[in-house]
Amino acid sequence: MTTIDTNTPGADHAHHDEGSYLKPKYGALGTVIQWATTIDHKKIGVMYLFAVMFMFFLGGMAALAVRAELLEPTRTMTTELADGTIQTTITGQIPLWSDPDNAAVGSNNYNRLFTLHGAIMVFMFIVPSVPASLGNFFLPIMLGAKDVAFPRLNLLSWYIYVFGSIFGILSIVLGGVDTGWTFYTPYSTTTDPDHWRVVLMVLAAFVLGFSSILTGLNFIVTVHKLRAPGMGWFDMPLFIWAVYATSIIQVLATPVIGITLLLLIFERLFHVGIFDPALGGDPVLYQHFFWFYSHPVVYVMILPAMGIISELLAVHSRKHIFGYRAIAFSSLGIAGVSFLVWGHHIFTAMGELVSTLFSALTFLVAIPTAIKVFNWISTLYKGSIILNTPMIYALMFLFTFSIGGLTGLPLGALATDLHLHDSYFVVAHFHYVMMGGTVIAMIGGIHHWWPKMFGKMYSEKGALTGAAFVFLGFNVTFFTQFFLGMQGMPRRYASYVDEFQTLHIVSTVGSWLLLVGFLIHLLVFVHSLLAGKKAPPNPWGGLTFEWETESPPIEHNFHHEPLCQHGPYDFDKVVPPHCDAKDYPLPPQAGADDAPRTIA
Amino acid sequence: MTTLAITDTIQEWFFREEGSTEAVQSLDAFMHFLWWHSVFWFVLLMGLTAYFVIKYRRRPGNMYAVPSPSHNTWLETFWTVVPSLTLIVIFLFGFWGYIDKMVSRSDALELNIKGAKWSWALTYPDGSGSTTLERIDEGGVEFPVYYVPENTNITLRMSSTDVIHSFWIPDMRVKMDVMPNRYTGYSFTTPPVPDDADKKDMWVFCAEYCGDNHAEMASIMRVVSLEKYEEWNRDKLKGMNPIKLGEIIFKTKCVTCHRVDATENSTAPSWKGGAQFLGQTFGYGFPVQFNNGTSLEARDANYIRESILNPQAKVVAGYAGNMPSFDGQLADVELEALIAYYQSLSEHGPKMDDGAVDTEEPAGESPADAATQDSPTDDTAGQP
Repeated sequence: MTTIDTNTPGADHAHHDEGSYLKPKYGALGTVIQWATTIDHKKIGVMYLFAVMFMFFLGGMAALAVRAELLEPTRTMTTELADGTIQTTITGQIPLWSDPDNAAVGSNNYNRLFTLHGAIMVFMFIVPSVPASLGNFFLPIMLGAKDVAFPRLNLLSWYIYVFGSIFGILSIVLGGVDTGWTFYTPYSTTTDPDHWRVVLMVLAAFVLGFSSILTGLNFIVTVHKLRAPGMGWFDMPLFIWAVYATSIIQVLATPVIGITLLLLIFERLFHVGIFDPALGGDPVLYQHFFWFYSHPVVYVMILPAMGIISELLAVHSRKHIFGYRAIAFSSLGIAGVSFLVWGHHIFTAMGELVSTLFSALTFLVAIPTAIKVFNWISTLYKGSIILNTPMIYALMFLFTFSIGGLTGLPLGALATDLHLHDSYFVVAHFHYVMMGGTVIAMIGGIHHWWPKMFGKMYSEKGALTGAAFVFLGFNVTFFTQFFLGMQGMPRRYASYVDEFQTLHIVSTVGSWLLLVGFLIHLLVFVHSLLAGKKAPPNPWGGLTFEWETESPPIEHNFHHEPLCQHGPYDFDKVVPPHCDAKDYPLPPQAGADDAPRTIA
Repeated sequence: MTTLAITDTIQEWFFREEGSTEAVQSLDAFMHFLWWHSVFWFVLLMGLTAYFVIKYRRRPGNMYAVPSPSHNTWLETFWTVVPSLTLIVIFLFGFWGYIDKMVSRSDALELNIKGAKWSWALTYPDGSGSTTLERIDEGGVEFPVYYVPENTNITLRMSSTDVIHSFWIPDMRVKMDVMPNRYTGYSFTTPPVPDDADKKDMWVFCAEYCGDNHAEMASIMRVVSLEKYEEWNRDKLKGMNPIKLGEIIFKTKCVTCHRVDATENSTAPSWKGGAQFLGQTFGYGFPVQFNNGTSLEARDANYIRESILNPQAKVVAGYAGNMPSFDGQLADVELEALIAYYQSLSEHGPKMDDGAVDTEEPAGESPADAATQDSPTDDTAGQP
């Protein structure tokens, strides 16, 4: 009936000359300064993207070294050579970083490496990963806003992140920390007599927390205040709902870890007895404090990924998401219940009554998660599904995340947890949820939004090849670890008894496949930036605001303030912006008594 | 027939072998139930996904999604309620199995477990500990062996002398953290010895990360018949060469801090006679300076005894005095064995005429190393 002309590029002549946000303006040095002082959420998002990807690379290298060390158990073998001399070899060492005469050096290095892997991946990669990069870039655009509510605060949080990461890396460069990323007391308060490295690493996590809090705060205000005219709460894309729920957790839970880590530093430096029994403290108190933050924070890691999946499945099957409100509310439900289940990390250290209560509460959190999976799969029903890279990653997520979720059940049940706790089963479960969940969704999201962020298409064939290696490598690496754990392999072991070697070999080979997969993805992205085809404004036929602006977006996102006139998933009612109705036909019933609404 | 074969295969993949006691079998059955429950949901969900992806793939005849409801209250209620009910069942099974592990039996054999970086010390009710060290994997380290009788209820009372450890017996499918400031513990029934063997060995691992040699903090729990256990228990300390026994106790309890060579060690004094560092000379018969200004002309047996039972009484100058007391954790004969071993490491020790200490060892090899290489073949000393 009506054709509404909203965001045609150039329609608003006042901003006619505004170019891409990526366009350099003041020469080489000027561009550097421009990026370093930018308050544009898109540039900050891109800087975050590169920063977290660099951390992912560092943490990944540590993981590969850890897996290589575990190819063989550490053994001191003596062989008598032909001339009668006795040769001693030590097996199961980290390649290129070991002492051929001293097995202890090898296990010390291993302990530092797995701590490095955990601390980097958790504090510097996965917590900020999706919200700070894709969230920063797309949350304001999807709301139809010019920027986040507090752009300067946004830049500040990036710098805080960088400084926190520098502290962390410094503690590693200066000799490393071997406490594990969990810093359990009294080990963390008594190890390493010249305690400053542990203090430095703990300080890093403390500083990074502030970056997390400020980003969360910024997003909450942005969602409340900067939605486009006409956009009610239930017109928001589900990615926004997920990031919103994430932000609530970040703002509420992060201060707790801040206080806890500060207490830890106090105990180390000034011998205030809080956690160390030798000083009159209680080590389990530390675990309660730590997991009161660190359990909710696993939902900081996974919720934005769930948001990405909602977007990918809907857009690439041209289908209205099933159970919009159920998905939106389950995000908030997960955020709420996540604060009540921290005790399930401590079943082996708590009394019977508390353990029982926490076990019961833990099963509660499984329900909203299951609801989301059912909704996603129902979304595919009667869709028009295209198997491109983002969609393949979304399907991969359903596969790996379901395994991650289901293997949570034996860990939540008390009897089985007493066997599986602190074993490789937990390692496998955690990686299926965090890597099979968050990382897989994030790669899918990056492919989905890559053309928008950088204005270039990527090689679909190359990306699909990379995806195949990632999928295969991931499952080979981590599925074996479920069996290792059930058979009795404890986690954080530099060596192991001989009977576990076969499965360890399989797992290590898997890690090499994963490496190949990620290298292919890297090549595909570099090729896209250098020689990719120019991306159209809306390559996938999406309906959310980011697809109405150009690729890459102009500096102020939109030529003039967009108006929300349809839901984010009304694929059956609206021809997507910048798309031809020939390629994106609407179902016949929509046109029977109501002409299809198009956005020119 | 086939279902049995599948169950056996799954059991082998999960736990390597058939559960050895009733409690373990019921836990394994629960794990099998969780497995089939997960397989059901996973196949259902992935099957539907695959079916939809193939059936509704984008192609000329399917360029748009045929409108279908985007919300269905009945369906959504159904898939909220049904999983909730199964979760309640899983919770209850988990709870029952847990309580079974936590309740201690009144007739149980109580074993005292002390965790310390990086070894387990198990103490029997009579105060004695392990008398055997064994190397299982070629080229690996030696682990203490602890004998327990078959088909017996056992309750563990566990504590740590330093950081948090976790006592895991994978064959019993149970672990519990070992704390520095409280007792923890659990109960289990030892399995029967298999008909075709005279023992059943079970690994004990430390499952809570505790530092450098965390991966080597293991022991072997050896289940033997009741007669054998009693025989072993009666004779374990008899007729053993005290130096050899002392060395085993050293390796299970003292080695975490002390060394028997001359390399500098700021954690604890060396046991090696004549070792010199940090301005001190170590070992039996050598003089010692204490941190309160006093000194002793020569370390003697009484000094060693006092240092083990009441370590804070005299602290060697330059050391923090962190050593815990071993009062009540060593039988008299074990204490004497430790002193004999300590003496054997020094030239001032009593002269041996049975050749237990090889004074003509090859250069560069300490007596401890020489003894280590003997022990795997000689571990049955003191046993029938």
